[in-house]
Amino acid sequence: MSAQAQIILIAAGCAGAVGAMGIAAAWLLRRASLRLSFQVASAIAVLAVVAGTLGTANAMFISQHDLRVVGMVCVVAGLVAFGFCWLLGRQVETSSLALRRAARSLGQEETGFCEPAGPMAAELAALSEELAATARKLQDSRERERRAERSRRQLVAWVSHDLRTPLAGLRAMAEALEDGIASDAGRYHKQIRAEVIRLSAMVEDLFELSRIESGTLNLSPDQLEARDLVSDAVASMEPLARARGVRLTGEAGSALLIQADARELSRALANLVTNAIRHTPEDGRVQVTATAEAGGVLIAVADGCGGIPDADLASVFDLTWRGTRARTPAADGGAGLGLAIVRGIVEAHRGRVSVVNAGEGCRFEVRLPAVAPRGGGGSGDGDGRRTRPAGLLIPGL
Amino acid sequence: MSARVLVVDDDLTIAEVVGDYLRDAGLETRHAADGRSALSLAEEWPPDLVVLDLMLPGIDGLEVCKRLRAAHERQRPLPVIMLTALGEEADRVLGLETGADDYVTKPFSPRELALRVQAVLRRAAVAAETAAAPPEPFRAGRFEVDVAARRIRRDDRELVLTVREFDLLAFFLSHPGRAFTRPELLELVWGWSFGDLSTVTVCVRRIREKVEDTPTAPVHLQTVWGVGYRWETDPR
Repeated sequence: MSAQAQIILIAAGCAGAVGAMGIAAAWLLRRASLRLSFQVASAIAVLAVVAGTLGTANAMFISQHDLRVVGMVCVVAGLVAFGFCWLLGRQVETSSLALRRAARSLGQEETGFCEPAGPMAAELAALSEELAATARKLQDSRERERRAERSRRQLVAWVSHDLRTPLAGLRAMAEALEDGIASDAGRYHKQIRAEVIRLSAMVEDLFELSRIESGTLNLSPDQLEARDLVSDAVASMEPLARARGVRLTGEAGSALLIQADARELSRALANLVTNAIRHTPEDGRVQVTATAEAGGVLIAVADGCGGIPDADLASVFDLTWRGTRARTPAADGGAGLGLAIVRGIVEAHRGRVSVVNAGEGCRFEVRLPAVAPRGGGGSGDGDGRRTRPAGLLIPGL
Repeated sequence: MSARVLVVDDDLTIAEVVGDYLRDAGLETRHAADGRSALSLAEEWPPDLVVLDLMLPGIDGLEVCKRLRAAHERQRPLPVIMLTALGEEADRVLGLETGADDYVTKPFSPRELALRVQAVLRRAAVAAETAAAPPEPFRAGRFEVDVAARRIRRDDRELVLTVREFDLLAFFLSHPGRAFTRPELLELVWGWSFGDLSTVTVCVRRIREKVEDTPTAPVHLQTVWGVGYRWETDPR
C-alpha cells in the first residue's frame, strides 16, 4: 500500500469517527436552538480536521515540534471557526426572534403588524415578506368588515329614523281623532292613509334589499326585448312624470335581446326612472334609451338633476348614500334604497350599473349581456316561472 | 238574493273592517278565524266567493283553498281572493295548483278589496254565461280561432300555445287595431285587478315567437311606444 493511500485511510478513519459523533449529536440536537446547532457543527468540523491531522501525524512519526505546530494551527483555526459560527448563530437567532415578535403582532389591532427590522438571511427574509403580505390582507378584510358594519349601523339608524317619523305623526293624528279634537278629521284620515302607504313602500324596499343581500333573490330569466322593457317602463311612469311636470321620453332600437327576469329588471328600471323624475325640476326632461353596444345592451336613463358631485359618483349605489334631500324621504318614495336595489338586481343579472354626469344632469347606465335570438315557433313553457338554463347567455355576441 | 262572501282571517280587526265594507256594498258576509271553521262554515252556508288569508293557524290558506274548491267543484268554480303578507310568493298563490282568482298584499286598502270582490263576482257571472254559450269560431287574416276547442291556426297550422298565451292571443285577435295597456291586459285576459305587469311583457314576447315571421321585427303584435301593445291582423 502506498504511503498516500495510508494517509487517506488514517485521516478518513479519524475524521469518520468524529463525523459519526457529529451525526449522533445532530440527532440529539434536533430540537435544540439554531445557535447551539451552529456551534456544534463548527466544533465537529474543527474536531474532524484535528483528529485527521493528529492521527496521520502520529502514524507518520513526525517530530514532536512539528506535531505541536500542527496542533497549534488547528486550535487557532478551530477557535476562528467557532467564533464565526457563534456570530452566525447569533444573527440567525436575532432574526428568528424578530420574526417571532412579528408573527405575534400579526392580527393585533392595537399595535398593528411590526415588520422585523435589519437584514436577514434570504429564506427568513422571504418568510418575513409572507408575514407582511398576510398582515396587509388581514388589515384590508378588517377594514372592509368595519366599513360594512358601519354602513349597516348607519342604515339601521336612518331606517329607524325614517320609520319613526311617520309613526309619530300617525300616533298624534290617531289620538287627536280619538279625543275628538281634530279640527279637520277628513284631512287627518287622508294623511294617515298616505303615511301608511309610505311605510309599506319602505318595508317593501327593505325586504327586497334583504333578499338581494342574502342571495335569496330567485331569478326566473326569460328572453326579453329591451325595447319592450323601455316602452313598458315609460308607459307605467308617465303618470308620475306628468304629475311632476317632467317630460318623459323613450327610445330603443329593435332586436336588442336580453336574458332577464322581467319582474326584477322592470323594478330596477322603474327605480331608475322614478329616481330620475324625482330629481328633475319641472319642465325638465328624462330620457330612457336602449342601444346595442359591444357584447351587450346598454339601457340608459338620463335626467336633469343638475349633476352629482364627482366625489359622490362612485358611491351613489351604496346602501347608505343619499342625495341632498334624502334625509326626509319623499312622500311617494320607499326607504331611499332604490339605487342599492338597482345595483343588486343588475348584478344578479351579470350586468353592471354606473352613473356619469352628462348634459343637464346625470346618466345612469345599465349594461347587460346580449343573447342570441331563439328560433321562432318553439313551444312555450308556462307563464315564465321556470328558469331557463344560463347557457343561453352569449356574452361575446 | 245578494251574493255571499266568506271572510277567513285570524286578524279580527281586518275581518271586521272587510266585513263592514262588503256589507256596505250590499253583500252578505260571514267570518271564520281559522281554516277548520272556514271549511265547516262553507258547508252549512255555501259562499259565492271567499276572501282567504294565506297565513292561518292550523290548516294554511293554500290547503283551505284546495279543499274548498274540491268540495265546491260539483256546482261551479268558487272564486277565491287571497290575502298575502309581503314576501309570500304571489306566483305560488296565483299558480295553477290553487288558482286564486286575485290576491292583495297586506297591508291593503279595504275599499279596494271590496271593489275587487265585486269585480271577481261579476267576472264569475260572465264566465258562467260564456261557458253555457261559447263564442263561434272566426277567421282573422292568416289566423283561425276556435275558443271552444281552444285552438288557433296560422296558415292552417295549429299553434302550440300555453293557456295564458292562448287567452292573450285570442283576445288580441278579437280586438284588432286597438292599443291596450299592460294593466288593461292583466285585468281583461288574466282577470287580475292587480299583479306583476311584466307577466304581460313576457307573454307578448313568447307569442311573437310563435306568430311572427321575424319575432324581433313584429308586424302583428306591435309595441305601441310608451302605451302598451296592439294587434294588427292585416299589417301593411
